[in-house]
Amino acid sequence: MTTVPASVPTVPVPRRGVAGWLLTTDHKRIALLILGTALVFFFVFGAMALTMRSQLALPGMSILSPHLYSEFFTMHGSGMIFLAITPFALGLGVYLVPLQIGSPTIAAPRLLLFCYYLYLFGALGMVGGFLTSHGAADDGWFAYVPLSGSEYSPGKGMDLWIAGTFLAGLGQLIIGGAILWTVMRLRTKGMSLMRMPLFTWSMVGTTLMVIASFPALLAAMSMLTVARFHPGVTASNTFNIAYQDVFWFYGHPVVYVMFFPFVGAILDVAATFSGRRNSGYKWTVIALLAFSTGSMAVWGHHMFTTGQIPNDYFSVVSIFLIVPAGLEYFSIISTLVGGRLVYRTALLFAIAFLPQFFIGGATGVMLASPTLDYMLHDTYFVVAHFHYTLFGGSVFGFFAGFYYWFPKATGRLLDERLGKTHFWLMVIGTNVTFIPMFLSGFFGMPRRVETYPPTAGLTTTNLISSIGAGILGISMVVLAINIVKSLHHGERAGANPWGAFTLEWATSSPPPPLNFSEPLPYVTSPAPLLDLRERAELDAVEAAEGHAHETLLAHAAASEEEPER
Amino acid sequence: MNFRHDFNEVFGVEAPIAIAVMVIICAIVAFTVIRYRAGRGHEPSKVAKHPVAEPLYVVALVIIALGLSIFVAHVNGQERRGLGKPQLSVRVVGFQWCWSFHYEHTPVTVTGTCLTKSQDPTLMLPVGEDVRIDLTSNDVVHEFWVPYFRFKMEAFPHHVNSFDVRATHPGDWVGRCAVYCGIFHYRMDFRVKAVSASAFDSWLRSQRASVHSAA
Repeated sequence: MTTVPASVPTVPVPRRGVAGWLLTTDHKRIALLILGTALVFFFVFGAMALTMRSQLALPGMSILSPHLYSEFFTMHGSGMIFLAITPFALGLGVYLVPLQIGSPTIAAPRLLLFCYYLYLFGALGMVGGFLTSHGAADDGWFAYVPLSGSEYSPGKGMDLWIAGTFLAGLGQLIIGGAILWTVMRLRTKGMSLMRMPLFTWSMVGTTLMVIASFPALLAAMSMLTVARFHPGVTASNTFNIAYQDVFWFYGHPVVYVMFFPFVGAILDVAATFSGRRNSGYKWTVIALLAFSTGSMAVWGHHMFTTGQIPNDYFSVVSIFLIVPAGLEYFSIISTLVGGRLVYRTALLFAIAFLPQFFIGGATGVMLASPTLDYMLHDTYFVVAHFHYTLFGGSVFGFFAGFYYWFPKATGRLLDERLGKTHFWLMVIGTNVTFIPMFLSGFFGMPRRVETYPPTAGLTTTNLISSIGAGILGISMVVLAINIVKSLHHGERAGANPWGAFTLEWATSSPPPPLNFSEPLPYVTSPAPLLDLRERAELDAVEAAEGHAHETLLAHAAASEEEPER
Repeated sequence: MNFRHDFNEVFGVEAPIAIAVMVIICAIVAFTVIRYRAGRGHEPSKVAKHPVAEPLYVVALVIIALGLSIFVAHVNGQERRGLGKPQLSVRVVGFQWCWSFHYEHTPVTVTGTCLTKSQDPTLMLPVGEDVRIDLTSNDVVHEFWVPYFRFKMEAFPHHVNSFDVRATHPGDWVGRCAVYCGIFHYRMDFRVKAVSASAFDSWLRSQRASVHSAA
């Protein structure tokens, strides 16, 4: 075997058929495998949520046995986090980062394919628990010891869950490393770090957090393994509280791993459909990096009620995260203000993100205040809070990116009419489902209860939440119809259907195996295609008016300085 | 220490701020969506930097974060200073799936099965007195939550968490386990009943008597 320098990729001979997918080293195909698998799990675990909401619609119902209910909320939570939203986040990065930085390939594609299989088989292991005699894991997604030890959870489902989580987490850790490696080593000519599109910057923040925090998940799963072979270790409080610390050392940063790439998607979508450059680029990059750093220092705010954590420290650091979060808001909003807004479905999802994620963020500040957390921790208030961040925020951001990049990956546009129906149903469904949950929690409803008595005063809010969940279910059916229909009959997209500015739009849809068939321009800013367009306009004006080039440039520079306020 | 008062104090500051910012964001978004729609036929702005507004905005955010965190830490600190030397201590033990309340330095222990509402154990407290709660667990992690008190604390095996509670007036409130602890977590409820000091003393005396007669 001859060695080939990394900078000169060999031209792959694409295999045909199923093998062409399952043995591919094309980062786009690996990404589509990741995203497609994650989308299937998103539907599966979403259906579990709908089943649980059916049971909670009225007091005293028993559609699911207490045991099965516990399996459902455990698999809904851990499945959405480990197997759906995190893979959405990393999958978008695997697809888009090489394209946005003008690279023909991703670093370590074979390793990346291996990681996809780690994720896939880890996922099958976790879900496979349903086939064992005790059923799937049933201790909640954070699986506190001693409950998750073999003494209290003897079933094989829990063992499979631990092994599956470990494998999927390991795969995601290495995927994160490969994306960061790609960003650092494979950028095209002229693309300095400060000329990268903001989505790519958001992936830098994401992958830094992945590398720093996912090893803690592997450590936590190792601790669980010990607790299952030697349940005696949980006789030590040190072991039990250390598990919580180690788990949340992963468990908080992963929240931002499931958030950053979608903010990045929204920043790109906002620029494209405003027809202008991202406003406040430098501060946004600073905010992303500060946010990643801060995310590693706030895990204890999940543990205020343990009585075994310095509450003031974690409270102060958590509240300070409003600074980078506020900067990201500034960047998105000030890009929209003054733009020329074209309301395609992608932009609608990006706009709805703003108020909805704010609800999640503001209630997050409340939960970061220990005196409020003592009341609201482990209640439906928390459930409502993180669904506003993860669903009202991240999933809306994901769909903004989904509608935006679907034509790039498939060559066909999604149907706008179905897309807007999907969007409005999701907005209504999200708010009808999750607003009443704040009240349920405040009225005294803990998380993870399979039912509640009719006398508890929780009937109205729960019924409204369940109706909202039904609307969300319908919206996902509309989405599924749209995907299937558009894949076969969607309008042909062409290279750049939105008139966007970043390099992934400088190639055909879908791109060829090595991404770019023509040489790329020297990159001069985070919006290289806009630079080309403006230069062409400038040249045209020059040719028409016959003015000296220098005067025009001076004029352009002056007009750019003038509106600074 | 009064968790209910502290909750209201912090909530009373943070909720109005959150609502005000929410209104501002919605107003800006609504204005932008209408004013800058493509249908108006304007050209998009070419300004991408705001060299004065951006640093000012960062400073404003830092000031808000600083103010909020100092305020929150201050109220939280008040709570901890409240730890006094109460006369009465109750050892609260969570187990799968109910609670027991042992009145320390007495033979009195109240417990139940939590199978039905009538079998939920009751934590009896005297009104107007600080009561020390020593919270622990016999098996897995549980969480002692009384929504009326606006307070909860996790109960760990092999570890005791102590805090004081005070009922300011007579009442009868529901309490429950808040952290998932196994399949009957959802019915692990108890009651908290606050009665006058004299009524509490006579209740404790009658409980002692029944313990002695049983022995």
